[in-house]
Amino acid sequence: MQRTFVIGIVTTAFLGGCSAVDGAGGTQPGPVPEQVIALAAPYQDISTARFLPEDGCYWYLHAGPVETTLLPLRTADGRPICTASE
Amino acid sequence: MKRHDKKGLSRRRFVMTAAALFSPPVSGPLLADTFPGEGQKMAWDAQVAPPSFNLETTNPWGLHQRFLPQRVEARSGLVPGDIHVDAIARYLYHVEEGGTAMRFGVAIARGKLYEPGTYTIRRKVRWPHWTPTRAMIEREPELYEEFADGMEPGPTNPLGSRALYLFVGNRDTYLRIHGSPHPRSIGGRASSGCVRMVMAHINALYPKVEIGVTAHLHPPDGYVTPRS
Repeated sequence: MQRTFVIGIVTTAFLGGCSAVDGAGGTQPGPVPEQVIALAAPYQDISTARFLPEDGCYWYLHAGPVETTLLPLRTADGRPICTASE
Repeated sequence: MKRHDKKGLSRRRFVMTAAALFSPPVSGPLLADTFPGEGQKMAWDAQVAPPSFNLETTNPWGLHQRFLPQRVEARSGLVPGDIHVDAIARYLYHVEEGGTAMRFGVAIARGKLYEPGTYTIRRKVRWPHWTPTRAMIEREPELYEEFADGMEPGPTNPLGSRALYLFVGNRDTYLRIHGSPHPRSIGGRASSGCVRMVMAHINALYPKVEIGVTAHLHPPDGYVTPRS
């Protein structure tokens, strides 16, 4: 199985079916491929990024004004970074 | 018959289309001048609430689950009653007593139209009127000029079911936190400056927001701020 990184059209297909990934829980941060790091917009804390198999996308911990919570890792133009299996 | 009633549904559809792209700061004076009674307001409230509505689970709008309202643990030191809009996450928080906050998914303004800052909520209205600002009319007269006299309240009004009016001191900024007839825009950047919410969500929030509380609109992604 080969993992490819998908942004844009395929990503939108994930949005309706994602399971809950709120809060600072979930999977632990893990190695993030260089391609993902290169795609991610710089305002995100890539050191907290992790892959969530529930939706096939990368998420990161966002330290917001009220809580620290997982958010979808996004490209510079705002699209989530997800994977597709072939 | 009022001017707004003459064109009926087609006009309302036009407004909804325009508002989907350019949702609304509001200016005065208002010439749209009908004021719905309590019975009409309650009927509209029922109209915009899905059947068997549960604030935290009902989702006929197809929102991502993270945008559904939920109670979360809040950082210490926040002032109960205050509102925080996290523009990166697209969340609005209403801080509660006891270290929690209610979180709601929102849409924020497009591009530079979003104005981070600290505001005071000095007015709130159920089923408000809407009037495009002069700047909006000048920028896009083809969309807004015919609404220069204002639009009557109702479920298709771009401000939706509730509006919280943001002031700096005694100056109305024309920024609002409001309901939207376009719930599917939640999570995105859609408006002309305001913060949009699902109408059923802001209807639940509205009675808990007191006049005089502070609304913090935090910077969006890509906004350069010093970090310690």
